[in-house]
Amino acid sequence: MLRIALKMLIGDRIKYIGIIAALSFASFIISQQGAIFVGIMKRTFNFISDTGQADIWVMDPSVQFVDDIKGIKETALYRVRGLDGIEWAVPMFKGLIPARLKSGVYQTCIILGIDDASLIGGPPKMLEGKIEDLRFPNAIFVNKVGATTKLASKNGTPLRVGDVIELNDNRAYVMGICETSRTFQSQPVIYTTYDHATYFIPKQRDFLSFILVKAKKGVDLEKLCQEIRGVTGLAAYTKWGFQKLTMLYYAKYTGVVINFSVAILLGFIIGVAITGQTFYNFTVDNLPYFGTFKAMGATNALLMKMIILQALMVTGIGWGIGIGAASVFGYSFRGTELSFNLPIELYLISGCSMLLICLLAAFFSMRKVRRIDPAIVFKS
Amino acid sequence: MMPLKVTCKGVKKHFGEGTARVDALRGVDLEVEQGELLLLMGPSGSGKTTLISVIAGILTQDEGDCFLDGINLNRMPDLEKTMYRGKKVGFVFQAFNLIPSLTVMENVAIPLLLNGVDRKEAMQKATTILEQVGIPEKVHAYPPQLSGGQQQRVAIARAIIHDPELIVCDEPTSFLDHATGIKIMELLHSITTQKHMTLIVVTHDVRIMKYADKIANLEDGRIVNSQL
Repeated sequence: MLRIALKMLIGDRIKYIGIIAALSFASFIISQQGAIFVGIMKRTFNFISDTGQADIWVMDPSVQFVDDIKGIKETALYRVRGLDGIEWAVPMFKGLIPARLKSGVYQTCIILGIDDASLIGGPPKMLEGKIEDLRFPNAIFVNKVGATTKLASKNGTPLRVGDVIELNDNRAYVMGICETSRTFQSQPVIYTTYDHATYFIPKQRDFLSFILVKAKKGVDLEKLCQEIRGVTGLAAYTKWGFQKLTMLYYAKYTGVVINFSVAILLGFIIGVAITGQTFYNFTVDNLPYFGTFKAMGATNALLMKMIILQALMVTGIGWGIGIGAASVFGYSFRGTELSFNLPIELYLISGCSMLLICLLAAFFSMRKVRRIDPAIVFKS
Repeated sequence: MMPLKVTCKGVKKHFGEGTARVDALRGVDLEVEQGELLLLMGPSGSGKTTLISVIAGILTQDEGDCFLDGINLNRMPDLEKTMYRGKKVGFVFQAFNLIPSLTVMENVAIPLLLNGVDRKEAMQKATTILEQVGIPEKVHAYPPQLSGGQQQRVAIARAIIHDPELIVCDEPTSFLDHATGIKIMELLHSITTQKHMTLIVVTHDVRIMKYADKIANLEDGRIVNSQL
């Protein structure tokens, strides 16, 4: 009889296509908007992800997110290095700097000063040049997106290795082009050494932005963070802790959550409304047949199974089409400005949402069928 | 004497309450024996359909008893009654009630599938039954592709496929032209006689009276004139 239920569903082509289309659309909206939301949230902490070697980030206690830079004393670095369980601890500077291009145009850039000795905290991927080239006097690396867009010449020629730009009225030599993950900030990213950074930006009293810490193998990171906090009075977060802090800041203060929630909720409501209505209509249209089954000996339990199976089938197909379309959408826009990240969790969330939509739709249909009087079969 | 198949004693049934109350059956007594054909006749609203609904276990009467093979359906729990109906009763409806998205063969096989018979076996039996009702070539057709007479043949095939002991028919010829109606009645009569099934037919059609073993005329929920 379950096969019969599926044939009944597919047999009503227009309603079947209508239900599938509504579910596919809802699934697409939920997945696609969800993926863009995840992509945007991921961008907020991409800089932390790119600086992958560090287990722990140490910073001023009032820092609220990765771009909220508040300087700390360099002496803190030595105090951290003196703790047990530390493999290494290196300084990192992060700030903004005006860059003057050949054309005379000024462009504000993000400047990162990494440890001169180890070059830890450098770019995740070099496209041109070697990481060691950063040790040349006044050397800088520029990220590809910055070099090809905001730092490009007026005629569109990208900034190249060997070019010279002025950073804060100091000459800087482009020694490499690197690739960085896109972040929430749109400024070009410039890498240099910590010492060079103090040259480009006049050194202030509290110049150090972060201390990057690698723990010894087997050391409990949370405990080490607590110890660092206790000894230095600074904030210390694991990599994930700092990513979370940043993400929650943006979620709380930018309204991104509410904006995307509205779009996702809209997809859900459209799904419920159209699917629920169409599925319910399908059931109502088939009431005489369900009544016939009931008269011929079908139990309520069997009829419920038939309806649930029909609902599950349209859910599976609609979800599959929607998530597939969202994946194709994401793939088509790969490497562009669009932030799109479709993790497995989002597959599950959209799948569960679809299931909820269909169970709601099936619930009302089941109520109708459960109450159907088999005597309906004798009404012509 | 053959064993008593259907017995109704003092069956009463009403719908609605207060000013909207309608007494559909006001105390019906009836006896139909195994293999007999009973015609239930009478004007619209006389209670014919209500009576076959009660006899088939679809509706529960307010008063009186109705026995099928000595079993009082009124005392049966709903689930048991549904199962009993699925095994012992076959239905032929005025509007055929064939499912348009299923093939003729699948429509006919439904009672067997409801009784848990294997799909392959059910389909084989459906094919055989469709040969018996004279439309073997329509096995894979869909109901909307059939004429009214052919659809009613499919409905008859569906009603008899699980070898029920009782078949109830509601106006089986009313949607058909005269010649087709006669053919359908002949088919029903010959099959039920051959299989020794009890047949209760609700009808307005006086031309099919010749097939009846018994005739009961209902008026205002009572049997007023019968050849029982």
